[in-house]
Amino acid sequence: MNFYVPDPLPPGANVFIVDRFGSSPSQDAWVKAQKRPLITMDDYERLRDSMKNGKAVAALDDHNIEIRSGTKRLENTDVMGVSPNYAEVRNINVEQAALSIKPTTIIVGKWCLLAPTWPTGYFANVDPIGKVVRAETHEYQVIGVAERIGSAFGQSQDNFMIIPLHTFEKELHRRATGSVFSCRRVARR
Amino acid sequence: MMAACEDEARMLMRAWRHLPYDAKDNFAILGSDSIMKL
Repeated sequence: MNFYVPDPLPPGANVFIVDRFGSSPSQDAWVKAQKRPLITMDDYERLRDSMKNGKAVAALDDHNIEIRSGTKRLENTDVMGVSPNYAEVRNINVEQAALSIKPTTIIVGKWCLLAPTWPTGYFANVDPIGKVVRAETHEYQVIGVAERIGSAFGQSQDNFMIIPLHTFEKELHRRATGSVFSCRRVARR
Repeated sequence: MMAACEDEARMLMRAWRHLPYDAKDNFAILGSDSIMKL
């Protein structure tokens, strides 16, 4: 192959994740990994500003909580606080979205992007855009619905809600969780 | 190219955390080949 291929690998294959725990092969390794220092926002900002080979560095902080809308509830939803470029790095496409979104809203607003399981299960006959969902005591306005991802190892990947990272850090962050970064390698020319 | 990018991230994280050259990483890097290593 003696020609330029801008993005030769399938989506996701050119992404790696910096995490506190990783995949622990044994119980002992998991217990030892609990003693590792947290991955913080400072680590993310340093990596984002310093990496030369990475095309983009995105941050994610998440935990599973119950989400409610009206009287309906969805347990064990993965609420993810993400940096603005996370969807691009992890190839999350938006199926439906509100038209009027200001750039400042993307960074710190009280909005959310829902996984496709929500509109089919809870907003079956109504447009989810503009509706309000609650996570713990906080409310977020739905500005979009993500495309279906499917399942991996028999587990559905479509049970998530995305909110801005700074909003998550302020309202839902728990110290034990820390952040995860995804780096996408640069396409060399 | 991917290995170089991972190595750069590892080097930066180790430097910021002041890890000696013979100390193990106190963070993890998960790539697309991580599942195969389990």
